[in-house]
Amino acid sequence: MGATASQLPKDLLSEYQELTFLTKQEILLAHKRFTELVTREGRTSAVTRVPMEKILTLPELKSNPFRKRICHVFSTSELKDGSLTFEDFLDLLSAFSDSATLEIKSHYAFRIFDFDDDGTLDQGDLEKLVNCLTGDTEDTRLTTEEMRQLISNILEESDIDKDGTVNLSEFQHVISRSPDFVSSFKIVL
Amino acid sequence: MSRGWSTHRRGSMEEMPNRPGQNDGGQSNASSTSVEEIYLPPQPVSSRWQQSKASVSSAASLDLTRRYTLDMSTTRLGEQPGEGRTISEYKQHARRSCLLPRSCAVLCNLGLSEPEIETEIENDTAELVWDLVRMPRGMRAQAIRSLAVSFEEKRNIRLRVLEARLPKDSVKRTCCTDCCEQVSLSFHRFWMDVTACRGHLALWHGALKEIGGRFRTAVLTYFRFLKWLLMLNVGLLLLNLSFITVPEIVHMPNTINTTFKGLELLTGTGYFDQSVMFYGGYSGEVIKRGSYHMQLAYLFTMFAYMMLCGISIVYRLGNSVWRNVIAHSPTTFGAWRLLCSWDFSILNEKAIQSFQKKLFVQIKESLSDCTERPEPTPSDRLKRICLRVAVWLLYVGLAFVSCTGVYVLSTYNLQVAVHARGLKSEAFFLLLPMLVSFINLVVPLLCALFSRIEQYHNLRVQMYAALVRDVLLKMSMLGVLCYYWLTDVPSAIPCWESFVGQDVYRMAIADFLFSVLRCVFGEYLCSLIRTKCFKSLRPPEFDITRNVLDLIHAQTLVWIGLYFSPLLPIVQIVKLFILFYMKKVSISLICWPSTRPGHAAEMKTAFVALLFFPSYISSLLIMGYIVWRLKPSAHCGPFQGLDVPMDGVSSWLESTVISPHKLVIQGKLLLLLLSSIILIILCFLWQVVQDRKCVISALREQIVSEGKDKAFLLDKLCGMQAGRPQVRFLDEEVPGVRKPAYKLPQSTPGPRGPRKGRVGPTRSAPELTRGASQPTPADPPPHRSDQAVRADGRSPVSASRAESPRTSAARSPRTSMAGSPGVPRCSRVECWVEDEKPAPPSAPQLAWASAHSPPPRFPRLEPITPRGAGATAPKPGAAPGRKPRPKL
Repeated sequence: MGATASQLPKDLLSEYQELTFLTKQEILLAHKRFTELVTREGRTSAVTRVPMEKILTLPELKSNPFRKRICHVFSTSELKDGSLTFEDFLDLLSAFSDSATLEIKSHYAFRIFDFDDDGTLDQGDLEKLVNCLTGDTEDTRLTTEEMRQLISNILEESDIDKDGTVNLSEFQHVISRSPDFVSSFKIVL
Repeated sequence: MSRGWSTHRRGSMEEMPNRPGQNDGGQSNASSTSVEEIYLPPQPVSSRWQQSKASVSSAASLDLTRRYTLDMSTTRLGEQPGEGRTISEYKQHARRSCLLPRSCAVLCNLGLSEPEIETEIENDTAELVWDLVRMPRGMRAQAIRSLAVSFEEKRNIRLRVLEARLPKDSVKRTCCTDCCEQVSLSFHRFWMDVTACRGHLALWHGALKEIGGRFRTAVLTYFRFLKWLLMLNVGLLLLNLSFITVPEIVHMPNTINTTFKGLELLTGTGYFDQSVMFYGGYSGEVIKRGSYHMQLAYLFTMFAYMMLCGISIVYRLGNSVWRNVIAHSPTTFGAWRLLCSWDFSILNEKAIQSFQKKLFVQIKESLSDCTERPEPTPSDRLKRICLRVAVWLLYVGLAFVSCTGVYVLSTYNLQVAVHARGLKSEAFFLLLPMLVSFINLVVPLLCALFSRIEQYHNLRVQMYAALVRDVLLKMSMLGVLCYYWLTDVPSAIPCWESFVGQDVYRMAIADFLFSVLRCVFGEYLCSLIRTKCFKSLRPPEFDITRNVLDLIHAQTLVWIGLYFSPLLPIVQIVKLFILFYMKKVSISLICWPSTRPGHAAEMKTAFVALLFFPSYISSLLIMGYIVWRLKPSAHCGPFQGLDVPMDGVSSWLESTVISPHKLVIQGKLLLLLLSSIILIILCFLWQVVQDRKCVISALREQIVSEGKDKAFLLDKLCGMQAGRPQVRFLDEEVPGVRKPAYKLPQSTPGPRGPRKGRVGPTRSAPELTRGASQPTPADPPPHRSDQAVRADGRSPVSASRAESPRTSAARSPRTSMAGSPGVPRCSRVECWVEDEKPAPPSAPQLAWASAHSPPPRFPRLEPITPRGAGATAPKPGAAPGRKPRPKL
């Protein structure tokens, strides 16, 4: 850890601490894990970007059905390729950390579930979400009828203004009522 | 920012009339995708429009105070939201506006030019920075941290905030302020270090974190429960030590003649017989020098112990019930609860698959709850009922047999204890605890086997059935034992309290040994056999319910035995400490974490409730019975010579100034007063809750009806738009009334693609609607019942997409920016309908508002005189007053 600590200047570290929900140790660990992903040639460039494929080799994300969405949501890449800088990576860990607020967590959860990036969860998004959750294999796929029923149940429950989609505030309203969410929306390195 | 916005807006509006009017005849411009065009077909400049311009701008600035602005600017950067909110709003809805698609298409859809967008962003950021600057330091840091934007942006905002603070400080910068700043900074750093250290010093901080990171939340629930029990026991042991044990040791150190043989650790007899471990080791004498009354100390410490336990359990239970049961109503959010139950902390691929499967099953279950299940035939139902009754009977039989076995063995035990005392009989005493632990181990396994025969449709019902059986078995056995301890033993054994204490001690030890054995043989060997011999089988699942029930059983034993053995919590502490590491190894290396989704919070509540109801309450009753009813042994313990232990307290009361009669009478009065006050408060709170429920349901209805209003209005608008009258919304502030912001369909290429003033021939058939192909201003305005017609052929979903007033403050930027290309953020809606053609005499009828006396809550539609043709040429950057929104 001493070696990695020397790579992160002290003022940068304190800035990271101030701007994220992570503790010093978590930031140092994240830095260590991140530098392991960076290729040698990448290390020389000013802003190191790790491509999504590399990020997804992390055991914490490897099997997660939402892994690609997570990368896309937290990536600041212009190319929208899901590649992450170290700061994006910190953002990711910060949102998934223990001390992040329900607000932040539900916000990012919404963005992760919003597969088409259009700002509302519509039928298509919900369908994809359910498929992600149930694995989308042959034996765990809902029939069209079941899916329709499920989505109409979901909308019935959460679509307060009856516009056919779930927007962020409706989503957060629902989330605030599901007590397991905060503890399960968590990735620890 | 509002100022910036409104000037900007005004400026662009003025631009509008100069736009080239290539869409004059209502022909669509296929190449352009500007949203603006849909709602602003080219119109001649209208004098009415000119007049209303000023009010539009002012309304716009009013609107801005509601901070709906930056949605637009955020559109571009994709992450520049939150700016322009008031501090409180900001704190509540930190950065909810940044859900923006970062796509170039969005940019294309904007009606604003690049520099204008830049200005907007700049204004918004400035506003945010200003809000932040005004916050106190701690809140500011938290607020910046809670912005849902990328790190880079947070850093920029922070820098700007710091810069903004500097000039202000420099004005009055003195030595003193400098010093203060330095001190507060260093204090802040020190505090950060302290909190970090505290985190590290907390027991099992890292271990719990690791468990939480690698396994499911439900698993973490078990370990948290274990830790909480440990802490409870440690705290209460300290209480016992300081008020009972230490004074006793100081007063008269026990002289123990027997040598330590080793077996005592298991049996608790011999060496420990007269030690402070058990009741017999205490004497009732008053310690002379401090006039310390051991009888009182013993009783009051026990009371305090139980009270503190009760308070901490009730507190935890209340918290848990509040958060997990009351705050969410499972009936309303069933499906969502499942969807939100994905545990991002599961890492194992197989565990994920298993989790997905179980989630699938649960989703199916929740669906089958909603849809009617095919009614089972009577024979099927009879069969099922018989099966269940049989299983329950079998179970009751098993429980009865085990209870009888325990009782028979315990009476035999008593005979041995009366007649012979020696090493052999001591070893024999171990048989009873072994039997109890063995039953506790085996019978639940048998029950689990039986429950496979029962066909429960619902996993939850199955889980709770198993839970109830397990609890019933454990409690009935404890009940039998308590009967034996409190009725049989006192008459047979001279120092019966110590004997019972030793029995409970042996139970606790045996319980511990059996859980170790189960961990080693049941889990480790089983997993070894399963994984080595049958590769297809998974290692055994880490059964959280059973493990927690074991903990509860152990804790109940401690409470029951507390009176007889004040230091019994030591055993429990050691046991819990070792158990933690054992279970951690078990879950990490051997077992398969339980993958039942969506139950962590519910189970947590159930566990604490179980700890409270049968376990704590029954121990409390037993202790009360001992203290008020049972005659203490005559030759040992602190209460020698008393009829019941409680006599110690009453004789002490008599010796003090307060006479017991007075106390009782005053106590009754006080009790009456207190309980009536509590009742009044309860009534009041109940009323408040009922009122709030009413308000909530009324508000809900209001949201829905306003949503309908909006959908209806939008339909009208679109219908009229199709007929090429132009509709304008005038923003108008009505104090105290929050009207919804409106959301109109965006110009999406595709099904609801840009229509841009297309009429008649250019429209596809389904889009043709009444009045659309034939734009007759005199057309009777569609009645409200037309709502379902969806005049422009849009999908109901998009047509009715309307923001609720309640959610509008917190809505996503995406939604708000999608809201109303032509109708931006109308707080109060007034519509002017413009038409190219000279307004016919019947023009007022066009406004359905005047013609058909619409429902009073609907906005009025008024005709607007036509505007100049050049005014509406589609051009990006036009009309900030009607900011185009990116498409959904």
